[in-house]
Amino acid sequence: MTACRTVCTCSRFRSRQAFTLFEIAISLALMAIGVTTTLLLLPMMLRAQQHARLETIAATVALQITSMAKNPETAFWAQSLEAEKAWQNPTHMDAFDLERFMEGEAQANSPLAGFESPAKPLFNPLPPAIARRLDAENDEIAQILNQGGRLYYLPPDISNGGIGPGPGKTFSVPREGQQLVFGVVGLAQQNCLLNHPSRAWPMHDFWPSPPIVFDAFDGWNVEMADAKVNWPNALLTDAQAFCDAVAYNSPARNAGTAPAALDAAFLLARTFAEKACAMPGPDGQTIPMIAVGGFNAPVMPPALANPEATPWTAKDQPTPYQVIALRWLAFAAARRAGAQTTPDNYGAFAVACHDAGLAWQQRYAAMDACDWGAVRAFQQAGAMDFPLLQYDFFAPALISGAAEDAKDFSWLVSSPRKVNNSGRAWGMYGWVVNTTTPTISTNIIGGRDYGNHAGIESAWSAGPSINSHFTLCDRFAPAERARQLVAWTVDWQSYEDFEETPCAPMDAKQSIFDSRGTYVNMSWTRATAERAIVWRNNTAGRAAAGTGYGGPNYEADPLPDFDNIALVLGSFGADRNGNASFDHGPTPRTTRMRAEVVGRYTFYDPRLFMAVK
Amino acid sequence: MRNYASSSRAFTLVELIFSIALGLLICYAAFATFRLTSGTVNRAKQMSLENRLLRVGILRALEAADTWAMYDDPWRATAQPLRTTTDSNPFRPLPNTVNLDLTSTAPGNWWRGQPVGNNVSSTAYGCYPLFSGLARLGARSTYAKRMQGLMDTLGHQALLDYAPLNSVFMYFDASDAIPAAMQATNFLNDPTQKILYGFNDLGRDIARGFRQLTWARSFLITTDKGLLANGVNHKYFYATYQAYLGAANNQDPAFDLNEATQILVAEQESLTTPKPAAWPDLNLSVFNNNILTVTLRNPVDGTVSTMHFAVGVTTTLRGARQQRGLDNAALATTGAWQPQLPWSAL
Repeated sequence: MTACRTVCTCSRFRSRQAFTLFEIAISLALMAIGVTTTLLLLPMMLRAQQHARLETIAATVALQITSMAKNPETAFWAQSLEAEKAWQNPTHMDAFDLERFMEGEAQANSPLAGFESPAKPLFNPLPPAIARRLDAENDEIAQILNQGGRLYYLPPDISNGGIGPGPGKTFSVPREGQQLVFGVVGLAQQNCLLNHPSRAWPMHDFWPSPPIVFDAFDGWNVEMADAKVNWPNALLTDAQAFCDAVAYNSPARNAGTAPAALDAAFLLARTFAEKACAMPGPDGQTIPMIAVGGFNAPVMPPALANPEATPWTAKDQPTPYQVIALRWLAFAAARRAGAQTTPDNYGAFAVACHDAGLAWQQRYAAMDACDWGAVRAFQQAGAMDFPLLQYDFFAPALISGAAEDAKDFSWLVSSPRKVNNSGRAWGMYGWVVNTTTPTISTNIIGGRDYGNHAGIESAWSAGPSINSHFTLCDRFAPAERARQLVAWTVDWQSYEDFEETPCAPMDAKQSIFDSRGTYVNMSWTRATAERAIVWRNNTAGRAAAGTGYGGPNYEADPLPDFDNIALVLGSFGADRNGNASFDHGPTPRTTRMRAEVVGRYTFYDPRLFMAVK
Repeated sequence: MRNYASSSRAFTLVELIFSIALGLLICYAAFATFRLTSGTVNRAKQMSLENRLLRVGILRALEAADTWAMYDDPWRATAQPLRTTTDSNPFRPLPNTVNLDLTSTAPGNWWRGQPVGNNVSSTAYGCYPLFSGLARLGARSTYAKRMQGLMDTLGHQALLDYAPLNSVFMYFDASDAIPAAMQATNFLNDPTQKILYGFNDLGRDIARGFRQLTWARSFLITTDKGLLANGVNHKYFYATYQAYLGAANNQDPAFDLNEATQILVAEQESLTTPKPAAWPDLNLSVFNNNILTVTLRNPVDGTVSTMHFAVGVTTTLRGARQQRGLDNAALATTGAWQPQLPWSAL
């Protein structure tokens, strides 16, 4: 019993004792784990909301960039690039791929300032040195970079000019948007060429108008140069006579505007037009004339048959020299009629020439985009005038000869059919050789100066035919044109060198010079896309951007200082967070960062140059 | 018994202090956790609310750009300031003389002038009123009537909006002259002139196309009464005007695009009135119907988050007018929202 009582007593006692220290420690540990777990969940809640915010920003950015990319520069001349030979053309700078647009080199991104304005980048390319440190799921970023693509970041808000916020600017996002980087996934399309690399066709001029004269010396004019390449010999004398009569500084032109002074040119225009209209083209086409007001005026073109029932033939299309002759005639007739004080037979004749000539030129231009013999009427410019050309990637490249300074090459040009009357460049490579201008073209055969005509012709794809690899008119499924704009979030601005790293290199395609350094384009001079925020020197503190180039005067004076090539290229880095202070992040450049996908936006990537209005 | 007595004694001071310390620690941990959790949850809820409002604001901005409702609200007669017929206004009905068939092959749609020397007083380049103009008949007057009707009735921006991209913005008036609005001048500070061409940077009588008229400049629309009275629908705004001519020649700063962005009032709307006091303020502004700004202001900490963007493809002014049936004679031109129509009816 004693033993039993002792046991019972101990058992009862043990049931009333407090927790041991060990038990309390365990309890506290359990509670600590619970609290810690709860605390760990809290940042996830915030991150989820931050992620949602970034998704909203990225989606808006994607909407903006893809919709505005549908309205690229509409001024064709500002983009055309002509070289003497195809391999000298660095190709066309305003290609309409989304990537090019994202670098701000497309000029349509300012809805306030119209379609052409100094480029205001919507994105800046992330320097490759930084982009290469970023990892993404399935190595997606590495694949973009390995394929020649880039990553882009949103430019900072610069309140003192440049790209910053405010109702006059086009774009700004909340500060956290700078964590976003963008890339385009999916292979780029092979786009159509903006023009033949050696001839910027189509060219337009007013209708009617006199011979197109680009300069005064020697009475030279473009159309006579073309005429010597493409026209029948029998017309050249008469055409040249009219050109001389209306050429800048010619005695006939300076004789005044009295009727008698205009009669000489009026007669020359009628003589040439009558001969040109009567001279059959290669397919026998002529333009009948009838008497109006005592002179021979062209008749209106006959109605065309329904092309589905009776296909049009080459004979339905007037020749370039006939169309040009009618344009000159209409001009001379309008000028002569203007010398009369009251409407009379001159006026009736001018109206007849005007109406019929304009209708013939409209037919000429509308029937064949691959006939480049006569300038298109400016007031009728339309999509049908634009010839579809593309490089032939499946034929051997055209490589410059040993005589060239450097080994350049170009793909050959594929066209749906042969281009007739390709003529010569209308820029400096079409210039004739004479004693007062620098010799550009030396292509003189049989006394005729062909300019770069040989260069144009040698660039056509030859095998097995000019359109063997022409695909622009092929049927396609929408998915074939689909690419993806991908947005990632990554704190790349925490790198120690995020503002020190030089800007992304400029693509040679953005050059407005040909491979010989000749200025062959009339558009804005180009510089790095980060030009508004580049540092001006490489001192330890860096001078703040903000004076002259790379600052508030940028929009007023967008032409970069080419004497300082380091600024043009952005060699000293850029103020990428937009605080006008040269900053260093805490993360060593040897550290890799993980980028997290925020959103993917599929868009249609066109192959043709177009604008939506 | 000694053991029993010993086990029933009170806590020692050390035990008590230790227990109190533990208790305080637990209480503090619980309180801190609760406070942190509460704060974080509140912040997350606030961010969630902001995110939802931001999305609402963006959607509303896109809808506004698509409908032009902030310029002309078909549901509210009091919100239609651009229908006033006392001046050219973008939402006025068009006169019947304006032919809107823009078929490019129709000869009546072709400009029949010169790039230079169109003025009837100078016929050195020919007499072009012979071929078209308000004084001519039939198709020879189509182009001129369209230009005149659009510009004088709807204003400059509407003219550029309606006309095809390759249009030449010039015509011969009833006296065979070029209208004053289409002759360049450097005297820009008189809105009664309704100058379309702007200052004389190319030459007084050089005909201009869409590109030249919009090169680094813009035509703006606003509903601000004061600015409308000052002829804003007849002004163009040049992006680099001051730098181009110099400050001394900047006769009217309202012509400078950058300054105009500060002078002109964007169409504004509060999307959170009324609202709970703790909710962020959400405001939307639409500038020229293509610059959209959504602003979110937190009343608690004062932080402002601005989403400022432009959309390249929105409804054109012509589209907005078609939404209201203003250009379709077959419809009642009441200006109310029109039912969805087939393309052929537009």
